[in-house]
Amino acid sequence: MPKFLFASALEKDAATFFSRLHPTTMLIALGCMVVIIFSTLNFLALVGILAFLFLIVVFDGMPKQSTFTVLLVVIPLCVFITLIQALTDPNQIIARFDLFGMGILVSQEGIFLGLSITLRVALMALTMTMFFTVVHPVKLTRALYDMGMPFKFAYTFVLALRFLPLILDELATINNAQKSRGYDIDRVNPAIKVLKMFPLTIPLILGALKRADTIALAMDLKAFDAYPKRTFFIALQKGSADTVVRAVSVVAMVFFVVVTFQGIL
Amino acid sequence: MSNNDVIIDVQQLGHTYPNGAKALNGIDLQIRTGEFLGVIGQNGAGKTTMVKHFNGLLKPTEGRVVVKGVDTRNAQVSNLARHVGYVFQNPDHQIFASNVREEIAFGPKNIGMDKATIERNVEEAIEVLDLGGVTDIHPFRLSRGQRQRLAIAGVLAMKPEIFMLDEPTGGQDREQVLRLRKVLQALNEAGHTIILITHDMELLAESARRAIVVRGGKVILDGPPTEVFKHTEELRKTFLTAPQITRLSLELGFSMPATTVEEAAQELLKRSESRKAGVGA
Amino acid sequence: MSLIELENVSFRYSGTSRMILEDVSFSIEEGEFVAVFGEGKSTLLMCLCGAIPHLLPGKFSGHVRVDGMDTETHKIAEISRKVGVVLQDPENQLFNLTVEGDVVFGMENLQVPPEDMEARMVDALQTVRMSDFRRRMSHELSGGQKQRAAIASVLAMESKILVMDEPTRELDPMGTEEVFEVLGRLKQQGKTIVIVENDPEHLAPLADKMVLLRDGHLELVAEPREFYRRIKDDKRIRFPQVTQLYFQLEEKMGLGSKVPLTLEEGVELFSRV
Repeated sequence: MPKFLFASALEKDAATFFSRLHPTTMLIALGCMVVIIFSTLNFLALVGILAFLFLIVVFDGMPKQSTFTVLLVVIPLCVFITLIQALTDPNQIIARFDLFGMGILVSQEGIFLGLSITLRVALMALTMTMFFTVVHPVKLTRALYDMGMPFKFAYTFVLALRFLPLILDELATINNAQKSRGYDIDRVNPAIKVLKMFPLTIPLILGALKRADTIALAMDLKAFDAYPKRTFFIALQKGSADTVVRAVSVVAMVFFVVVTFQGIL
Repeated sequence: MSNNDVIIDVQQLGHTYPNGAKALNGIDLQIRTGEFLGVIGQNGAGKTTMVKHFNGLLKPTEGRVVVKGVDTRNAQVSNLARHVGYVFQNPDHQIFASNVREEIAFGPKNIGMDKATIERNVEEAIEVLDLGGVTDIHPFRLSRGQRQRLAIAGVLAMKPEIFMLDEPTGGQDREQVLRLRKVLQALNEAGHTIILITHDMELLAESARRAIVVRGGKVILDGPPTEVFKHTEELRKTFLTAPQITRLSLELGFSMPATTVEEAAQELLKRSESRKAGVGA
Repeated sequence: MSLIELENVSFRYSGTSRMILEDVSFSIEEGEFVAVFGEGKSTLLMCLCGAIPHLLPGKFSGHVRVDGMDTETHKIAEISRKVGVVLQDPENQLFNLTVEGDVVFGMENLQVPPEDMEARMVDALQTVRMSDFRRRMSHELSGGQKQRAAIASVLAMESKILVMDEPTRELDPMGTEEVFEVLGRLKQQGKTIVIVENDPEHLAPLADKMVLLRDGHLELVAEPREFYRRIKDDKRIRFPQVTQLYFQLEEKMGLGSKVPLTLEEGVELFSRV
């Protein structure tokens, strides 16, 4: 199980302000946040949004370490983007130096643009992580179904969460079984590795297909998708907090879009 | 017995997984050439973690494991595979080739056997595991029992001195289990060391000459099956039960617990004859 | 009328010529515990729950009636209200993240009103002794617990008939013990159970009837003592060891005609000689 995702939503059921909200509210908030992040490349505005998200994580009691781990994952990418921008942007040169006889120019505008793009990537990663940390996958499925998505599609998300870890385990076992027969993929020349993967991929794929078959059978035998409608054990509740969060999200989004298109930011 | 006979030497073996779970704790175990060792215990007790150390799939986090004089920390699994064969529980985790012979030849090729030897070993494995009738069938179309035997054949053809099998009787009927038991016994008589991990107490009692019980990452019982089965209290705590025939013989007060139905039958016949003789006198 | 009736049932899988079942007819009464052995046993179970002819491709003929319902003319969802199925690997039968999610899954599909679900779930979890595991994630459970959760998910659908295909095959001795304990309880509750299972020691004392298939044909239907006596030379079927011992010594020692099935019966019989 990918431990950092879904951790709080599953283990401490409805433990935070945001995880108690209606999943549709969270979908709306997510949508608004994505639009906001993409509406501006103003460095200060993006820093402001980041600070805002940090505050939410801290005050909402989401698991800090796991939520911020995702930022560590995107940092190398961020450094790379900033570096490229700083070295290729021709405006506002703040430094120049020689490297192996080549003149290298460092652009201030480039640095800020690079940092802004970086921040955008980081913000997207953080937003998605926060979303999946607080929204219970089962409730999300329910919300998608209520919005008109056929249940068998809405449900694939839960199925993937349930079975992906099993398939990863299976790959490790297959790798071990073939290693025990003297076949070590880690010691194969990387240039031809792909060609040599069959002893691992074939059992993996066939196993997954077989499993999918059995799961489909077992689900059909429990009348999955047999009737056009189904009932739900969990009830989704919408309170005044939902209305507030929805309103704030939409207003913030409109504000950012208008301000950006007016050229104010 | 001299120490030279020890083919697998486990010294103070401990294993803690990266997530902090302590799976094995201070295991000391000497396995000698030619032994037939049965390993029993519940899932999660540490059986599989332990035997994965015997062919280097796992390296000790404490203590050490020496296989044929080589410390496994300094050995690659693919090299240890020459000496230690390991048949995994689910044959579908290893079968990938499009025909039976190719599948069996995979292991021998990997360890660099020459062509003539490979051919000989493949045919021998087919013969021993009764796969002669199905060599033209695509491996994925074989029954579960047949695939299980194919997986065993693939390791057998590598001719390892040590042969480890994890739960090899899944999906087989009684006749096939009996056949497999005979195969393992024949291999053992030919000098192979056999390590059999199984939940099938009847199979264990009938075939192994030494049994160890693993619980909580430790070996808690070690001895001939008849001795191990006498420890009913410890077994019960581990939620294991001796074969029904063994329990019957204990209830009936046999001096030596029976491990097979045949043994029990002989003992009962002897008893009834001596009683008749007693009555006669 | 019997609860389950098979009438001249034949089946072969698509793309093969071999008949897996040929002209099989027998019936099962309400509350019976029936064990099935021989080739084609799993296929037979698939006929009882409607997977054949609805889900598995092949050529089917004959009739299967469960609780008066012909499985060929009724939808799989309707049959699922009568027949619950437990398969070998519990891993493939739990498709939700938590035990609770799986126990309500079938009820949700069958459109059970949400207000009825709680009581049915509590009941099902109680029967398999898993009440404390309700909110646990499936992947944290042991094999035996997973299989008991799978059984609870079927019980919550309140089917009269339970069909089980080697429910202990993937389990360790402890898990096997747990599942058989549940089976004993279900039998007492009056469920009709049809099972394929490889553990004769646990099975023999529970079974009311045993069925043997050979080459697709129905070879024998009998109560356990009679069943084992009739097939005593068949090497393919596993016997309880005391039963096996009895047949080895029956003539030599003059043991009487009652075939022992359990350790207790064995001890009683053999301590007399």
